[in-house]
This record gives sequence, structure tokens and C-alpha cells, in this order.
Amino acid sequence: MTQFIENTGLGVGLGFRPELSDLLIDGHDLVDFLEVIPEHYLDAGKQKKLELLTLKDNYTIIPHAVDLSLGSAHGLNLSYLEKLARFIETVDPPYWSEHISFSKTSAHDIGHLSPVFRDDEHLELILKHIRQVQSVIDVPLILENITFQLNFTGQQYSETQFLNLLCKESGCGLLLDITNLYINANNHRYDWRQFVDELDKQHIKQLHIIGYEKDGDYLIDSHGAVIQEELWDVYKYVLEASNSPAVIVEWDRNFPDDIELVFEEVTKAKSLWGR
Amino acid sequence: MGEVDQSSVVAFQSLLTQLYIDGALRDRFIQNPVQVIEQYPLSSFHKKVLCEIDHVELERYAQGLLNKRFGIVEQLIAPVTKVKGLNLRVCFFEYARSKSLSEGNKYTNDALMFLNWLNESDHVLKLTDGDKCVFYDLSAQLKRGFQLSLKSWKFSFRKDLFNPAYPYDYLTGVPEYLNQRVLHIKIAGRLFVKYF
Repeated sequence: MTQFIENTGLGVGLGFRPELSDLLIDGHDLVDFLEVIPEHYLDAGKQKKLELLTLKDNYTIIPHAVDLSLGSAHGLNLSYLEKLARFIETVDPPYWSEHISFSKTSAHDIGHLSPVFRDDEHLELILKHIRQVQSVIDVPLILENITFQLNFTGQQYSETQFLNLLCKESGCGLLLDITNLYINANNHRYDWRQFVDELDKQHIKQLHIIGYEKDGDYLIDSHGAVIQEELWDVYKYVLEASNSPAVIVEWDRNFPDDIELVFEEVTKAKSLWGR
Repeated sequence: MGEVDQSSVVAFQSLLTQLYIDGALRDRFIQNPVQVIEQYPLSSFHKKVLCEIDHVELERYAQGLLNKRFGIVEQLIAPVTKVKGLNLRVCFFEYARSKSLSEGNKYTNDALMFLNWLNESDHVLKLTDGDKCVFYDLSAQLKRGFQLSLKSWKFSFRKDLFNPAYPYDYLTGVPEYLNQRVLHIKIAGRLFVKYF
């Protein structure tokens, strides 16, 4: 099944986290929509379920799954997939997202999104899993680029070739993580502009942005820092080249004492988005 | 696109995963990649890819994974581990060399397994006069030279409610699991029971 979504028209939103709950739960003028992590709710108690329903009353909710492991050669976890399908049915979103990664085998869980080897075998594997997922979840799926530390030799495709092919063959949109893109470009010494230029922009449906942390010259996607100026440059460059994708500011940890700082980032993302 | 060479891709990911999470295997791999790789049913292409992995990048990635795992576990067990003299990170890295994450409530299980490992390990807290051993809001003033063996700890959690995925009750702002937890601590033969 091919699924394709046009411009989402969602605007600029925030990744929902418990630390932001007090400010977000009843709606917030600045926040156009929310992204939630399904795994936080799948086996949750009644209070979390009530929270989800309250959020749903006040926002468009986009589920952002992290545990499907689409690139795992050991196959999908079908009981997890069923739970995820029920969650998405409850939320009734215009689309949902997952990562292009593998995070587990039948015996082990890495506990982190790990890169897949970019060749035909892995491309076919992910496409097969996407078809399997789409047979259960009839809501458009968009796929996110991740950071990678290990740069394998002998890969058949560049990252942009792989993303373009995957979106084209699956009919999925692209969730372009600006921060991940910039971190990879820095850590593996390539030009982020060229990366964006090589992407087939019609696939870009949503963006993620959040600050990175530094370990010497090495950048880390810590998901808990103020957005650096160079990331805003990438953001502007992508926005100019694409068709008003939805945007999520992702602040997951290291929340500032003044939580308004998080909302200032949303304000900035919004002002640049609406130019 | 051709058919997926399933068995080699499975083996490729299996070995990669274990290299990420198993410190002992990673050490052997860095010493002698070929010897480790030969134990897996890999295609010659996948063998070559694995042989050419940058060992510095591999180690950096593995350490990053451990740091992330420790950060989550540390948050989960913070109420029971605010003990002066215990280098929790060092202990965790030692524990994690032989224990990997499992499916399901992975970080909850990881936290519980780590506490049990601490409980059964030979780590001893060396406390001096005036040191306070603080378990959340329970404090015990300790005598000079007293050594608190971690074997005297006993942890009891409602595992099903101790879930990092939903730690907060947004209505009250209080972590849900705090009301479901009981901590037993024996100090100098005296049993402290703390209900969270």
C-alpha cells in the first residue's frame, strides 16, 4: 500500500514531556500541535490515559514511535505493533512517525536507535516491514533520519540516496531531523547544504529541531539544550527549499529552570516558519 | 532489488548489537576481529565490513550507549541511592559489562537488576564520623568507622507501577511510583522501613 500525505498544515508544535505538562495540558496559544511518544502510554495506568485524552481534546496529536525497529532483520515485534495500532487508532492522527533504524535483535535490546547499513538488502528489509506495518496501521507514516557514530565502509548508498529511495519506494514522508542532520555532517565531515540539496524535498513533511551538546569537536544529540544559531541556519535553509513542513521543537531532558525558555524556542521556530 | 540474504543480515546485526552492548566481546573483537567474526554465519561481504569498523568509533558509540542507560537508571533509582561514598557510575559500568537490556519494561528491569546486583556485590560503603547516609528523606547518623554493607539493603518495588515511561501523575505533579514503593534498610541490626 502506498501512502502519501500532502502539506500537513500543522504549524509549529512541541514534543510533549511530563515536565511540560502543567503548561501544556489545557492547551497553549503558542503550540499548534503536540508530538507524543506512544511507548509512554502503551502500558500506562489510568492517569496517563486520562492525560492523553485531555491532550487530544486540546491538540492535534502526532504519535512518534521509537521502538518498532523497522530495520531489524529479526522481524517486528507483533504484540508491540498491535498495541501501537490501538494507540494510533485512539489518537486518530493525520499521520505518525518512526525512525529509520534498528534497535534490537531477538535476543538483545540496544536501548538506542542504531543506524542500518545502507544497501539493497536493508532497503528491502525496511520496505517489507513498512508494508507489514501499513497492513495493520492505515494512517500515513513518515520516517525520521537518525544520528550515527559508526560510519561503515562499503555502503551501497549515501544517506540522502537511501532516504530518497526509501520514501519513494514506500510512499512514506520524511521527518527531517535538523539536529541529527547537522550532527552527522559535523561528525563525519560533510556539507549539510549539499545534504539538503540532494534530498528530494517533496518527501519532507515534518522537521525536528533541538540543541546539541559538545564533546570536544564531537557533537551529541542530547535532546536537552538551547538551539544553536547554526541549527537555525539549517532550519531556514530547509524551510526555504520545502513546502511548509510541520515543525516540532524537541526538548526531552535537562529542562531549564525557567521553562519559558522552551517556549521561546517555539516562538523563534514559528517566526522563521511563518516568514 | 534482489532477495534479502536473511541469514547473513541477521548474523550481521546480531554481532553488531553484541559489539555495542557486550564489553568483553568488544575487547576480544578489538584484539582479534577475525577470530570473533568467524564464529558468525556471515557473508564474505559482511565479514569485510565488520573487519573494517573503526574501533575508536565503536568504543565511543558503546560508551555513549552505556552513559545513556546509566542516566535513565540513575534517575529511576535516585531515591534509594543518595549515599555518600558510592560511585554509582563506576558500579553501573561494572554491572553492565555482563547485563544487557531486555525487552519489555527494559529500564525498570535494568534498574531493579542493578539494585539487586549492588545488593549482592562486594561493594562496601566506607563512611566516616558525621557522614550521613541519606535514603531519600530517611537519614541515619553513623558512628565512626562504621561500614555499611550493601548486602544489608533490601529493595521491594511494585514492578508493574515502577515504570519510567509514566513516572508522573500530572494531576498532582507527584511521581506515581513513589506511593507504591517500600524500601527496607538494615543499619547496625536495626531495620528501617520507608514507604514512598
